[in-house]
Amino acid sequence: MIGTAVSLDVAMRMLLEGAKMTVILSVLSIILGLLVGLPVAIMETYGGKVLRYIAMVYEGILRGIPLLAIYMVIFFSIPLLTGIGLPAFWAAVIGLGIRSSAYQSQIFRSTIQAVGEGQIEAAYSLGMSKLETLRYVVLPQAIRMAVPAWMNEYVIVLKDTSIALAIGIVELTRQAQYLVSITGEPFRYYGLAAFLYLIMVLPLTYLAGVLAKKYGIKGTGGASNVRI
Amino acid sequence: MPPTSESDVLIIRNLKKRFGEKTVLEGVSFSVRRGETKVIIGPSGAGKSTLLRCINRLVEPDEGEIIFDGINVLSKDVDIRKIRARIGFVFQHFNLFKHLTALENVKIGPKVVKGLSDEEAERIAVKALKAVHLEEDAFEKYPAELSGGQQQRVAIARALAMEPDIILFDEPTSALDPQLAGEVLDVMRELAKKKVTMLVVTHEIGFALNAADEVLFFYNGKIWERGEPRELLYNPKREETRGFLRRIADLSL
Ligand SMILES: Nc1ncnc2c1ncn2[C@@H]1O[C@H](COP(=O)(O)OP(=O)(O)OP(=O)(O)O)[C@@H](O)[C@H]1O
Ligand SMILES: [Mg+2]
Repeated sequence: MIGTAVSLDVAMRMLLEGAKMTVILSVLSIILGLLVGLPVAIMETYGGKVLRYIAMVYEGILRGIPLLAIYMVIFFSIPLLTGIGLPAFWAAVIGLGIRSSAYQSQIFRSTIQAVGEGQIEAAYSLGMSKLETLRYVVLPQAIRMAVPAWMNEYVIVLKDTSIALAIGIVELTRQAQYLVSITGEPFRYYGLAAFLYLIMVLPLTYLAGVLAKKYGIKGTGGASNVRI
Repeated sequence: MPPTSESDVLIIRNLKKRFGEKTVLEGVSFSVRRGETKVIIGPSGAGKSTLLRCINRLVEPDEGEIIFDGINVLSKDVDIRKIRARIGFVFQHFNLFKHLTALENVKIGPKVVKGLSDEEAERIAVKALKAVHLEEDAFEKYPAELSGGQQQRVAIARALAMEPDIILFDEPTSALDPQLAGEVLDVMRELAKKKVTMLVVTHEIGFALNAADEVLFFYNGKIWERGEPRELLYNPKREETRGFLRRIADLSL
């Protein structure tokens, strides 16, 4: 089969199909990561000793395990242990999402802590409760400060979707791999895939700047990138 | 113990606070009558900020009594948020909410804490911003886009919008250059005239002279000397008071 010619048109269609999966996977994962990561960050900064400890352990474990291993655990081990199978797609979303939640919690923890003591004292002095202060003062500021680092995290999640090919997800890299295997032209198809990744990532980098300007708090620096 | 009366908004008796080994308040007693402007002066580290912060319990005092409008502020059953909603606090560094416009900064208290409708909160906020003479084109600006003087006036409006029984000021002009300090002091003088009850920590002797009903000189965590402004500022009895006044006079020359 090696050496089969594939028209550029067909190849592009296959790669774009893969890119679509990459985008869907990354968007669902970053959202899951946000829904879990933000509460974890709140637990770490506002929770009592026990909650704080649980959150730290959660974060530590997920940041300490390679993504591939997280996928293996979710996709292969959990069904073995529980007898409940999980479609590869959802295993990929959950794996990538909870891994991202550990990094997102780190981003939000640092921006929550960066909200000045003076802001909190002003809220308390008006008679706000701790929860109202969190809701109306701390989170709006922390979330805006987090925009640059959060966009950076999204780029990482987008690139890491490629690891999902290990559990059978047909995303961009997997499509390229397939094209290479039938044509024997790695340079061409991996090159095209790389180009498509860049096309997806570069506008995001630009968008990050625009969003930071639009939603950043005037006169306040954004959060520094916490992970390269 | 000072005499108490119906017209006392705030009574402080024998207030004590230590930070570790360091005693910051060593038994402070005084009261503030409704409509009165009381000024506190004193050297850095004397415990002035700590005193103000004890009053709304941003800092927990160790001993003593704070009675606000007849309520024992330090009692365990008291809901401190209800008390804080009735005590304005103006900070040295303004502490405006950075993510909110001037108008939103003033609205948020009535809305969130008092549960007023948006229109009602807005009406009160506009009134408060007018009372501090904030320029209308600054209403929609963010704190970072305002001058220090404007920021502090918004902070005063934020306190006023809660219709507090007393406003505590912690060196409201010491982060401002003299001209901007002037516009803030003008607003505070107007408030004093309107009989808004104020307890003001400041080094602005001019303000103390023409707006204060009484001046307290703080030294080493105690009220070292107190009196009618002209008397205390022109004719201090104690050596430490004289030394302090000489030093700030030197600074302003
Ligand atoms: N949270 C704290 N923990 C430990 N020490 C504190 C704390 N707050 C204040 N102090 C100390 O208490 C003393 C009095 O501080 P305070 O801020 O009340 O003085 P101040 O009279 O307001 O002085 P300044 O004019 O510099 O504002 C200082 O020595 C200060 O270092
Ligand atoms: Mg002070």
